[in-house]
Amino acid sequence: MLFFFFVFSFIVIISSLSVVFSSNPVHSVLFLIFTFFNTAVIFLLFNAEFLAMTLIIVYVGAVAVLFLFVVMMLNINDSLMKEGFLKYFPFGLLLICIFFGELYMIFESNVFITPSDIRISISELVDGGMDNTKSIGLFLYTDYFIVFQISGFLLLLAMIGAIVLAHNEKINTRYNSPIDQKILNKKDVIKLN
Amino acid sequence: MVLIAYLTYFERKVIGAIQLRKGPNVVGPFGLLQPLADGIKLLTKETIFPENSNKFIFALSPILTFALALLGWAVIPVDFKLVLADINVGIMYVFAISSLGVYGIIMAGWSSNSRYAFLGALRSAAQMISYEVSIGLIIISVLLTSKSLNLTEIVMAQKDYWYVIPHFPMFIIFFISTLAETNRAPFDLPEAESELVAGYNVEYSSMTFGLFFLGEYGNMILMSSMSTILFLGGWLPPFDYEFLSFIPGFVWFLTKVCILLFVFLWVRATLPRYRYDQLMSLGWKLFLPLSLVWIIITSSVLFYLGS
Repeated sequence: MLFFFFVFSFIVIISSLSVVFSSNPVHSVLFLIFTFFNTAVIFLLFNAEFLAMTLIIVYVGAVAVLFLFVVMMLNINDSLMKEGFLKYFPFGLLLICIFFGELYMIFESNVFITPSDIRISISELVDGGMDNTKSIGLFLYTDYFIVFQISGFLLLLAMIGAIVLAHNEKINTRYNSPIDQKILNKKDVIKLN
Repeated sequence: MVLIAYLTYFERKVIGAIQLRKGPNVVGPFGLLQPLADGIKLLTKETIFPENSNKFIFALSPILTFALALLGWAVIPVDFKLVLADINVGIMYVFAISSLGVYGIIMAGWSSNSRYAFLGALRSAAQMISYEVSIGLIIISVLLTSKSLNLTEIVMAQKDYWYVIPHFPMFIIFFISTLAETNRAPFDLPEAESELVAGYNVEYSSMTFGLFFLGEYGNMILMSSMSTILFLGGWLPPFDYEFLSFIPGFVWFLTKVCILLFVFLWVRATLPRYRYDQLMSLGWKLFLPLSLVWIIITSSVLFYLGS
């Protein structure tokens, strides 16, 4: 078990490093997918099969496909990408600092931010023979209900924002509505003979 | 494997019958050895790697497509307790595997470094993601009724009545979505031969093409057995009579899968191909809202029945 964990985490580390260092952006995305996949395997090793499957369905099956889609369509030039390196470097450094700071705080203080009155204990549920899909559901919809709903609304907001930004009215394009085509009458059509 | 090979034979026979032709009838009795002959032909031909293609990904993608088509079978229960791995998130596993299927196609299209293949791959990626959404929502409404993610338990929950009865509209939408998900006619735009030559597999030859082909048919059978399990009661006989349950479960299962596969071929032989924007608007503007509404209806009905 431990052996497999080390094998897969080693693969995860190697492939996520390859995401950053590979020169071809499409290869980067493929390595990213591989990383997601192996992370799912690590979840499986910890008996968190619901999380593993969700990770694959959401990230590998949907998000990464869109990544790949966009990266393939963009004609990315290597030299252009290297140009902006110095300009963005301080920003990246700041982000790295923030993430490592957060990780450090979590692992040092050992205190996860939890609602003040937790009524269901997840370890009790799992030890009581519940499968973890059910326990996640019970946990998510009771103690963390508000947080769950807020994150849902955040995603909705992000989606609406993206649609508003990307949507442009079709003024100069020709468009045939399928409904208009369906309700066309035979009498209204000009007959050529 | 043999089942997949004979599905191609079956397809040619059915389409032949629908179009008033004979279909394959030269090799062996009734042409029964035709798929074997095709297989040998594909194996002995030369594999061509196009110049400027990405060799590794080019070789990987057909293998991936075929492997994923077979992987899903690990959790499909053919009879009571006749299943390789009875995992308790079985349906999510199948869903995850089928959502990975798009990678084989998109990688094939990109790595062959050809315009036709690339366009086919992009079409297929967009199409499969769109229809996956509605498939996922339909699966949720089935799960709400069966209260389990385990495929065996889903089938056992249909002991009294199959889910095709309460969920009939969803069964139709699920079937159409599986047609789109497996890139079959009338949604076979990724390989529309009149506009894209052959879509994503235009550069492939011999067994690499064969693997794509087998993967597609494997996916068809997998998807048909998924709809059998979700809506048609898996291995259960239609009525709980003694003489019907005398017939072993896997025979029922195979019969149902075969009927669904016949509908697949029937649809292919009769319907013309969809236009691409119509395909997208059908997926996003019709199926997605319908299946969402159906989830709400299902959950409210279940809530008021108190079950």
